[in-house]
Amino acid sequence: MQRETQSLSRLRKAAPNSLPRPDGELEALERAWAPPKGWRRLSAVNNTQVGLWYIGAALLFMLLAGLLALMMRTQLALPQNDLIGPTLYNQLFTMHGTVMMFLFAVPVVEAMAVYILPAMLGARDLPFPRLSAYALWAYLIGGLMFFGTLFFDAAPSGGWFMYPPLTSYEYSRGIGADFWLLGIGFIEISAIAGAIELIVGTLRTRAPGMSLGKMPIYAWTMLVVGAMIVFGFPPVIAATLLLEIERAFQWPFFIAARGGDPLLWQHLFWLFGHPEVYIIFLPAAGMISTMVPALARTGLVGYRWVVAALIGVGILSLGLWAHHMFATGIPQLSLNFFSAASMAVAIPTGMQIFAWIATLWRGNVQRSTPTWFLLAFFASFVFGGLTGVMLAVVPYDWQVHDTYFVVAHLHYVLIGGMVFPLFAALYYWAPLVYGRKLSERIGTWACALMFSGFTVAFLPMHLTGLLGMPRRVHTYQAGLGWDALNLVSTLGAFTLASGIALVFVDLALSSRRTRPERPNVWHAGSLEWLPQGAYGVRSIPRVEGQYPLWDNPALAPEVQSGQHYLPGTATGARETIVTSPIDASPQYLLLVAGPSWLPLLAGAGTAAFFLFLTVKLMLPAALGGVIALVACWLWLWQTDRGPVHAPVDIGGGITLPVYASGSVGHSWWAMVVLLLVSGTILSALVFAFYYYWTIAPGPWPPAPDTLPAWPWPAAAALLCAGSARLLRRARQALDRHAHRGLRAHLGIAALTSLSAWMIAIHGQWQAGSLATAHAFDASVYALLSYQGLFVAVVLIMAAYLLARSLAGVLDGIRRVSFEVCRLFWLYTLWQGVFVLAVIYGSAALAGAT
Amino acid sequence: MSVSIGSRLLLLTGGLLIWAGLFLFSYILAALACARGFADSAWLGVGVVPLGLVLAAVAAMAGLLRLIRHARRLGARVQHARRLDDTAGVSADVARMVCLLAAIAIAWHVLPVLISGTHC
Amino acid sequence: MHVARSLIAAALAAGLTATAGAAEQSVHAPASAAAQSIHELGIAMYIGAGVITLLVVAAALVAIARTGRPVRAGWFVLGGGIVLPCAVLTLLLTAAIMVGDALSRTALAPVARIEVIGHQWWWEVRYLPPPAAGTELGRLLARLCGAGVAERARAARDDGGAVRAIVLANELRLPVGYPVEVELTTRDVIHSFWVPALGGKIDMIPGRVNRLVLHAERAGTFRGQCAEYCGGPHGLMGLVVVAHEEADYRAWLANQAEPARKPAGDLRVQGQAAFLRAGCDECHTIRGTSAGGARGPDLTHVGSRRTLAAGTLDNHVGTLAGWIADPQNVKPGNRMPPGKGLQGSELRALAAYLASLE
Repeated sequence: MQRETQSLSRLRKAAPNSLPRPDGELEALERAWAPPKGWRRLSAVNNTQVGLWYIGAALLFMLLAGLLALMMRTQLALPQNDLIGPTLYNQLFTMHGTVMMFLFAVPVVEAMAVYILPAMLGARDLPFPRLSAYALWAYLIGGLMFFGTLFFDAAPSGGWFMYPPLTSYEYSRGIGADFWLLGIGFIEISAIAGAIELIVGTLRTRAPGMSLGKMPIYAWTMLVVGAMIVFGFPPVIAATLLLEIERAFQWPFFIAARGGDPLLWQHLFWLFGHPEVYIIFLPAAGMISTMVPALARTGLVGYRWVVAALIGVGILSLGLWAHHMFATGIPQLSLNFFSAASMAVAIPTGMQIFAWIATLWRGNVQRSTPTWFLLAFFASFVFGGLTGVMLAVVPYDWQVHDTYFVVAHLHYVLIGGMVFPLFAALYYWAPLVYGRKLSERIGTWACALMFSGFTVAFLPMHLTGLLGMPRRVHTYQAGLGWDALNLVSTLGAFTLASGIALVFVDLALSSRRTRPERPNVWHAGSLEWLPQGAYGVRSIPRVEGQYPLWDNPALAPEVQSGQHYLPGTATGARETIVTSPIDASPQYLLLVAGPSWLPLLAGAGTAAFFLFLTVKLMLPAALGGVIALVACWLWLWQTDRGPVHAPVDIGGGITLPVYASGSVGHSWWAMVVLLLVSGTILSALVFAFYYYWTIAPGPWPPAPDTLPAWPWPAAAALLCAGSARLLRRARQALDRHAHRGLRAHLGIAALTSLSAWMIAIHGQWQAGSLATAHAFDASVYALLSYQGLFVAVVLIMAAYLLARSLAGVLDGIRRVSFEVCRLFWLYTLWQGVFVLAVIYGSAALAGAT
Repeated sequence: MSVSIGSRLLLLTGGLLIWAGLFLFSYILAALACARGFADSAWLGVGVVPLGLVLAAVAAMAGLLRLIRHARRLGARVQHARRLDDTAGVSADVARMVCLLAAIAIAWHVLPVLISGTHC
Repeated sequence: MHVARSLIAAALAAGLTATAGAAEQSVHAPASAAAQSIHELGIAMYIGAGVITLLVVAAALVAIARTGRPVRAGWFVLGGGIVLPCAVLTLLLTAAIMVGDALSRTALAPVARIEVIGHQWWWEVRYLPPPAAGTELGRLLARLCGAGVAERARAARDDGGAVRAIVLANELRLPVGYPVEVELTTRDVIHSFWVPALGGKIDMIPGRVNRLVLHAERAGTFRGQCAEYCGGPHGLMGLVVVAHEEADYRAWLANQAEPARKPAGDLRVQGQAAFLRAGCDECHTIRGTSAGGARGPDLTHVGSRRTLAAGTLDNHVGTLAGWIADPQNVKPGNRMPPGKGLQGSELRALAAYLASLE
């Protein structure tokens, strides 16, 4: 990471730019940010547009999954009901869980961040708007197709947790499970895109002066969430890859008869699954930390405690996964570790709740719809959290695990902890979209209906579970004491649904009466309430405290009249300021990407590729893949524009370059995040590899004679090292502007990287190791294949760099493309060496002892 | 004074990273002890596994203390200098609070071993 | 104080079971020490959770209702968010560890070892012979539990000369007052064995053997159910556990060890013929006859069982006939093939024959 110096002394008290502003400055800014009109609007990539679509798409999936829930509740209203048979019911609950978790909860919190975060940070846009657009389209198209499988009786029915062997090829022969794995693929892509935006956005695009210590809690939250996605999603990415490979090629990762273990899936799934719950809850907590001070008209009590709590939740949540596995028979000693960590995570959550109550206590609270939703949140989330503590008690969990008690608990946590705050947020931030508040009357009614319906539906479910009703049953016997409770729950569910419907009525009514201006209706202190156009704020404010609008009541007119930084467009294109990660001193001007069809095309191509692959239509799949690849290529080609303009005076005596290479650049940061994700996926695969060692009943490796002799891996490792050296020579050539030398070294380095991989995999193959024979061999091939994927990307990158060099758009100055690719490439090479060391080093060690 | 974002993030998360290290160590130790059958082996009358876990926890607590002292010094320096950079002060406070959370988590982490020993 | 707590606990427990009417599968109608300790832990936690929720909601309501006053962050965040939960949770964690430890260390003196094998969507129950006096396990048992218990265990064992042959489906019988060890495995996907009245659940996982000790302390019939989603009609994978007094248990065991009764009367003889003609013997075993299939439940004493189709139907001639005629209607997706080309009279005869296999 790069070092930064104190340049805050340059920030003087007076506003950085003087009045009057030159003629045409505002008009040029408006022109640069003008949204595309008519059907071209679909090519928009600006965060205010993409964010709204994103929120809308996520809410659509909430409605769809909610309808499935109503169907299930109708079936369960009466005992021994035969309205819906087990086949459809199993699809319904699988889709309900999957769609709610993956296509609603995670996307909606990311979507809210896409919409709100840049404004809150004082940025004009996210650092990579086209990446957000791509993530949206891949998610929306893929999600709709995924949901559509219900209408073709091809929906998955293995539960949202997809435990093998039930979901492996032997017990789920249809393509439903493949569709599930595919659907998750989309959300994995968009989640990681989101993490990159969140991390780079919060660390690098904050308004000048908004140091880490003045950063809004919501931004802190999304930073922590971004990091949690980086470390939380990889296990499930690894797991879905392994399961799909097992289904398609019979590699026995989870098949006990051939050395695999179904529990490995559970470990990997819950390594993701528990952080996932907090990836959903923390953004809601961040919204609450933003709404509570505004509604109470006083700053958040215990800012530092809340930041510590966020970090606490983020890290502690990585040590809870096995509390979903208390009944699997893993050793008591291990169970207690997870029990302790599950209780420890309650503390930072409690700290946040008391910080909010203290803030409400100190302030004069505005009584409005968001307030009522926040009350609903307190009542339900606290109770849900406490039943969560009960579930962390190992012996108690042995009784209630997988019963309706857990169903009740998780809905208390998710609806209470995330949906109520989300609806509070919809009412709170609606004025940003509509220019006015939504209807207080409808909102209050909706909140009352939702909360009462929720309570009537889910409070009795605790009892249903304690009376012994297991989850995921399509019907139940009469006379076990569950009949009346289930009927009541069904009535509650429909009440809850009517409350949600009322909110959508309110949204629909309001959209016809939109007012253009964005008044600060709550008198909030954060930057998103500054007057904004399509370009965001007219000038980017200098921030001096945690609540800039309260700290400087004149800030809004100052900003709007252009007295703060960058009051226009310097280059005629879209721009935002990149600042240093700790104290937010301005570093350079980021040229923000404008409207383009390429993200939509790439997203549609990606969706088509996966979908056609799932239904085994190879030709259309290949076509989709090519479209996606070409679109990405063209899209990237337009980036890295080089120093197209002389350094720009943004006001306050600060002059910024319009191009930055090296570790200061935002693309470099994005690549670092991506590599952290890659490394964590690798760790998950390595975990799997060693996991088979701990469970192996006999010798390990099971068949040492099917391992290659040492010269094979040694040669591969040497080639990796050699390739890294060639890459260094390529960089030296670039420094010297030696284009031919650059191309020659790049080409040879690419070939060396490829041959290293081919030697490694051929060595394994010629020794007689078959991936279908045993989980050990399968895990070796999985590691080597993962490396192969990276080598393939490296080859594409090499071709891309060669093309850029030939086209004359890569040189010693305009070199971000090279640097970013080189980072990935070097990672790939060292990953190769590491993989070889893990496989053959461990095997040799185990063989020696 | 210049400081990298990497070391600042390390300071903020350090306490709980220590907890995470202890957690990982104990998880692997427990899994191996139960899978390879040395959970009950003893050395001079003290169980090997409980001894390892308690020693690791003590080391982790010592690490927390060091981190807290480091953060306190940083905070004091900032207060003394009255510099514009408020993040150092915030970071120092947050780092200590994170250490407090980590201390609780570590105490609870060894509680089962103290109560019921190593029991697979 | 203690009296008050017990009173509240009793009231809650009564409320839980009273709303239910029946409580065959309730967590809070314990019939074993294990279930009892979890029951008490649960009651204590409900009270705590209720009180804490009410306090927090009250605080939030008051905070919204009244005008602002200065607060001290430390008092709220440190006191409410750290000190209070630390105190409560340390107590709870200690209790949790002690109860969990006690439950998982239950002294093993099994008078019977029962193997329960999960199938999609039924339970195969095999009674394994108890450890003989000379064996290692037998010696261990004597050492762990003293001669008295070991003696009783041997006495129980002596009744079961043919114990190894006993195979039932979807039903367990236990002697009251004796621990019984259950070995849990699966033939296909993951299932979970759960009889709430006797304690917590444990999963049945391919490639693993999990163990559970059941120790019924009162006679009665307890219902259980598969608790891990296993596809198809997972909701109709029930289980009945009957705890007998010692003498009844011995009598039952002796009867089960016998081969199937010979059919008495024309109708039942016709029924047996229909059984073979329809090919039921491809999947089902009836000990003492030529039927030796292994895919479906053993039917040697099917007439003595309480339910059919894994807890889905009560067991009598009528339901037997209905089940055989159209199993897919009763339990959609199960592995029993429909139809089998049986005429109405044959069906009646077959049902009568099976019902007679007590």
